[in-house]
Amino acid sequence: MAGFSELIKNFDRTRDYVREFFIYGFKVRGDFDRKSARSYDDEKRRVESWLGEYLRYDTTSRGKQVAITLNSSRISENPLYRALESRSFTDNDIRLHFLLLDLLADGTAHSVRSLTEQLAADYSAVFDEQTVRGKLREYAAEGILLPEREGKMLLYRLTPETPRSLFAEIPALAQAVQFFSCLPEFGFAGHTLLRAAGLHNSAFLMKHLYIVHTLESQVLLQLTDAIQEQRMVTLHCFGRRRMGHTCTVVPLKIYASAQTGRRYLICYQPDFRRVNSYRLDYIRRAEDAGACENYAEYADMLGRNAEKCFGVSFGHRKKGNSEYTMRVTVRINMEEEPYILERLEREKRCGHVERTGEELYTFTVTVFDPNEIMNWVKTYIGRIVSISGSPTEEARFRRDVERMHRMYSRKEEEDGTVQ
Amino acid sequence: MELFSEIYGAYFRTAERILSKGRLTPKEVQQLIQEEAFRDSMLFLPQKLMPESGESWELLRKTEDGMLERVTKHAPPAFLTLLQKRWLRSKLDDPKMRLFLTDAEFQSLSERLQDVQPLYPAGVFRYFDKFTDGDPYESPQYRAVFRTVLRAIGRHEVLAVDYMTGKGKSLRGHFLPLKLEYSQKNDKFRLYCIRMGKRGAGGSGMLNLGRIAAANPTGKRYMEDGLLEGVLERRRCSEPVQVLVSGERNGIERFLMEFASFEKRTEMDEESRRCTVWLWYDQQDETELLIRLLGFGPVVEILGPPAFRAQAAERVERQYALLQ
Repeated sequence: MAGFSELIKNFDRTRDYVREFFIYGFKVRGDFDRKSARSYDDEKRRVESWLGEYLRYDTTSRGKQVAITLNSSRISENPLYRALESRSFTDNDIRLHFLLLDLLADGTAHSVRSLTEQLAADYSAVFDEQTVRGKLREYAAEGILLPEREGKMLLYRLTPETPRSLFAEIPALAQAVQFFSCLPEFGFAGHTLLRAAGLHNSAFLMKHLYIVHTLESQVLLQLTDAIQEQRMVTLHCFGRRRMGHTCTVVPLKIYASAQTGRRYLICYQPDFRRVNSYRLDYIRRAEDAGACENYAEYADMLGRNAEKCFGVSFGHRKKGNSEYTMRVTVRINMEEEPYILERLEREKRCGHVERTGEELYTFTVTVFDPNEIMNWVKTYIGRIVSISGSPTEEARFRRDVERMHRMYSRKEEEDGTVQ
Repeated sequence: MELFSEIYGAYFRTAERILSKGRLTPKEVQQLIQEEAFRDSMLFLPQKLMPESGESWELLRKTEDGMLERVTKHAPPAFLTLLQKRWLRSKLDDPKMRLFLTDAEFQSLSERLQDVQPLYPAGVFRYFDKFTDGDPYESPQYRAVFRTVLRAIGRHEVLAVDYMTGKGKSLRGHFLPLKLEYSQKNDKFRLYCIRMGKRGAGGSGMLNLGRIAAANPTGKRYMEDGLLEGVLERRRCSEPVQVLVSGERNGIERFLMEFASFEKRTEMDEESRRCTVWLWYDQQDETELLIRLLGFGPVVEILGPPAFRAQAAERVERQYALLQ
């Protein structure tokens, strides 16, 4: 194992492996054919070290499969944060970190030269001024140090703010951070705050939480920065159909599904002159592509299109901006099952629901992509009286029900198991 | 400003805890590595921390009495980073922040962060399938109940609760709150709790926070190890649901992504390119699980347990009849 390190410099490859172990869990060593056997062993060993207690090993006819398995509604801390705590560094990085902070702990401002001299005098740590300056600049960008000018000289002072002082001033904030650190919107930042104050989440559990989103945090931060600064980005995508795909887009929003676990970048794509969506987990990295002059215009375009979008599909490029008004009628016995209508009302999104007959309620929605509503419609199987608005979807629904009917009508064995 | 940075890493944090001790034994160093770093860090970190190892970071030195002491003069100072401040600033835009902070506390934090740019713009995230009947975070009564419950969880204090059930019946009783559960999909908080009787802990329950009309501290405290674990275990299904997922319509990827939050086991059949999945679930969520599985149509077949499959078959049969 010479040369193996628990720490990593680049998160991309690790992101792939953790995702494969976590989402699929059925892949064996040979399935990772894009990478070398050595890199599989190293990545697996790292994941074992970070997340050992959540790993499951099964031996199948195909070989030994490794899976990360856990019920995310029963854990108080996202274990995938461990992967984000694994950034590698040099010996100089860690020495400078603790020695410089020790010199700056007095709260006064110091120059680069005086710090460089003190490092040598107090700790026999000899660094050139340029190295020390680089670290001080880096820490100023992170907000750890506050730069200030004294004449022509640049001085650095340690920030007086600490997590403990913040929580001491506003004690209820510690519980808020416990809660928000569990959520996918950069919860890792909250986790670092808790850790710095020696605290843990002790009050909250999260249901329907997709902790795998943690792996996209770095890319997501690049995208939200671009949205905040109204800049374009070049996306480098991978995945099922977008292997090696690159495109330049104007990021507008992040759409997320609380039910399917997928998150998307919603953007304006100049090549196609339309709003488009890209799955976040298929974006390997995003690079700045310059300021966007017409940002407000594209944001307006999204606003106009969003009301005809049931999920993230803004229609098919080749079909233009075709719209479909879909009507789905379901049977509800209001005496016995009023909760079904309540469910329709709370899940209708951009559609509306009206009573259209005795025990009949019709959901109507105008969308760019009728296929996008069908998964949700099928959750009402058993009470769907009619579907109209797209002959293609209607025919497919009918075929699906017939196939399911054959599937569930198969004769079962006496012991109840299906063959 | 980096999220994936060594300053938030496990190794830096371990070193910080060790240096904050001043003087300690080699055994204490090892113990702190085990507490803070990764499972295998004992193979890599000790030689970096121990003086005279050749690979040493030279942050500790050996004393004559065999102890280790830091080379620095002070315990490492703490600091709040820009990433943490920008994240906190963004959370001020979330209405749920007001559940925790009083108006005065909210004002104080807002003023403290007034010059800080949010980490992300307000409203940039949109959960398009979140239910629309979420909890009333703006309601003063809801906020009061939330804070009372949260305080009681920390104090292990029994609460006298007035509750309205889903069927509109009024319920009054003493409950020991254990943990709050939040669902992004439902946009609701629910409370894991134990019903308290005259003889102590009774049955376990789950209360929707939005249906608690009043919660008052009783001054009585109750602590017992494993209460929450017991509740969770009782709610877990006795047998997992077994399903067969086909690759049609990208079914396997869609299915495994959607059910990524579940405890599961998967097995791929190379010949048929179909994946068998065993899912463990909370018994209270059985209907929700059933309709989600049916939403996949013929891409997913529920194989067992027989009673679970029978429920799916019954709904499909009804649907088939409706289309004839």
